[in-house]
Amino acid sequence: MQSKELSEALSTIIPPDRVLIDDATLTEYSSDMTETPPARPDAVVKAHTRDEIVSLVRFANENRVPLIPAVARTNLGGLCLPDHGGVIVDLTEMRRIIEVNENEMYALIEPGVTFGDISAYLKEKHPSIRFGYPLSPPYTSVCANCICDGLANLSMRHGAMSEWVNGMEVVLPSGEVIVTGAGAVSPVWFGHAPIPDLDGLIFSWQGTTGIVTKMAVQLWPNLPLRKRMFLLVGTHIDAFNLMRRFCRTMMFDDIGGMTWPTGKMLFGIKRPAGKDPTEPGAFVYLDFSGNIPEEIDCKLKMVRTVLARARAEGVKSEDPIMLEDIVKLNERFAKFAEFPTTLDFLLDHGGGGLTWVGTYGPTAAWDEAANRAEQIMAKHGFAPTMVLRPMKGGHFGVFRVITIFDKKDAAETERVRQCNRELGRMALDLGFVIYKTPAWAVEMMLERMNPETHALMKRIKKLLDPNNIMNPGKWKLS
Amino acid sequence: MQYVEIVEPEKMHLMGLMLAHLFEKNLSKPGAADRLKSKDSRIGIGAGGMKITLHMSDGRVIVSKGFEGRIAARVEGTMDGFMAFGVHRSMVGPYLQGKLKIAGNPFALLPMLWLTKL
Repeated sequence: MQSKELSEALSTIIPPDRVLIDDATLTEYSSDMTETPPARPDAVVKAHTRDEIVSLVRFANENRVPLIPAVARTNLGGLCLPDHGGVIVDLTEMRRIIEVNENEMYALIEPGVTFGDISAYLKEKHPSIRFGYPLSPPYTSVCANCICDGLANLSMRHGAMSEWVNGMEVVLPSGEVIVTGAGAVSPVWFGHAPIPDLDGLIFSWQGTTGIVTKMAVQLWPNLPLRKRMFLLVGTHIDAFNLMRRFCRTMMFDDIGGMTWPTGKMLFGIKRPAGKDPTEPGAFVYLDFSGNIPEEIDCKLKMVRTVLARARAEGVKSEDPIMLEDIVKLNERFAKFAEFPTTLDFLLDHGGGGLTWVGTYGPTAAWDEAANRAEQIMAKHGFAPTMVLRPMKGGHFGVFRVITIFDKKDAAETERVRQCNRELGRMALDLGFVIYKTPAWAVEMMLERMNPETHALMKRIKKLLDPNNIMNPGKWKLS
Repeated sequence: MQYVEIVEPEKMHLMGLMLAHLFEKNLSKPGAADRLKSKDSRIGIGAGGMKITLHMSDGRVIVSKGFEGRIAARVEGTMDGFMAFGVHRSMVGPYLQGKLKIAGNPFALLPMLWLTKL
């Protein structure tokens, strides 16, 4: 279908001022921050209602037009780039917080609701409950991060964000509208049980099985007292050792580990040249909350106890430095005091490029993964910027390697591609699985995936989307 | 930075970067840089195994890695000891707790009281 013809047809479904085919818009939606090659859509539509999306899906089926759902487009895997052209369904303007149930502690939201939106809303109207926030900008979509199995600063307690979802309203590729979870039966979207769990048809499918139009996400009590602190630790191995110890105490809301380049970037060094042998190899970030001062004091005592035991076994770490003191030293650290937050040193470094290899996997393999990642990054001329987190009480962990680069530099972009591929293969070798899986990583994941699992994924896709209109190309399902 | 120069910033360790940032912040306050106008001295600072030399000269501070040149005084300790010093503006507490050690001419360390104020 020609662009003009497509635009006219779409304008019968969506008001013409929300059907965009101008060059500037199409160029903007053609690329993201990563090294993924650009891919141009034929049109962008800004949906406002579920019924508009139902009509769009029916139109796309009749005309075999690909639909690519998108919100903030901040994912680092090219997931919203149209591999086969088509129409980007921009959901950013579906931004209502429909309901907050304070008793059952969930929020029912539309897909355009951002972490910034929900944070502001809860602070103003429901200060006794809170949500969790990722280390990504406040304009990031809650819904997208949940369906892509992202994480947030309560993932140490509650796991990947898909586990925080009580249910969804989804427009299937057929145009049918389903509700998953308890909300399919009850007016209260209190949980995803006890009916067959259809959420799995959406999570991590990268928009290939439907468009989410509502989502119920879990909230938690907002305890009145909070303490956040950093530990400067001798080596990344020592840091991981400490993180595993701390997570076994079951008292933290969040535990994070960052390797040395992150600290330097926070102090304005865009491309750290190398690690000084005297400086700490990593930082551990600890976050806990409490109801009364005595509870906080007790947890602080526990931090010192764990630290003393680890030191007795040879771990090298400084005493904790409270976040409020570090913020006095450098306001940039306030980014760790108030979530959601923008880590501008990753975004405003001049080159415009940001990419990662983000994985979930066994925390027992962190040491080896970090050692090998250091070598791979050095080989390609990048500082080994790694972020790690135990998840769901330590049942598994995040291992993430971040690279900033100059997108205008073709040679550097190619080095980034090679580096990411090597990192991805190394991580898979050690038992990690790449989340928000970019196209390049899908190929290497499929080499290892149980073939019957992938065959079943293809059958499900065929069943739900026989015309392959939903984000075609992702997960190599057709 | 206007008042602080870091020698080879890409290679500077974390403590050097942290303190340089703090010095700049404190020197940017009205009249603060004037207090270093007549000075020409070097102080060694060591924290958490990292060391820097602070060369105060003509209203500016040059931060270099390691202990370099003729150092009038040296203060070494833990990172949290320095943070406590910065917060409370007294070396006495961290010193008595064994978190800071001082060598050389203690009067040479007086500018530290306001340069490292948090």
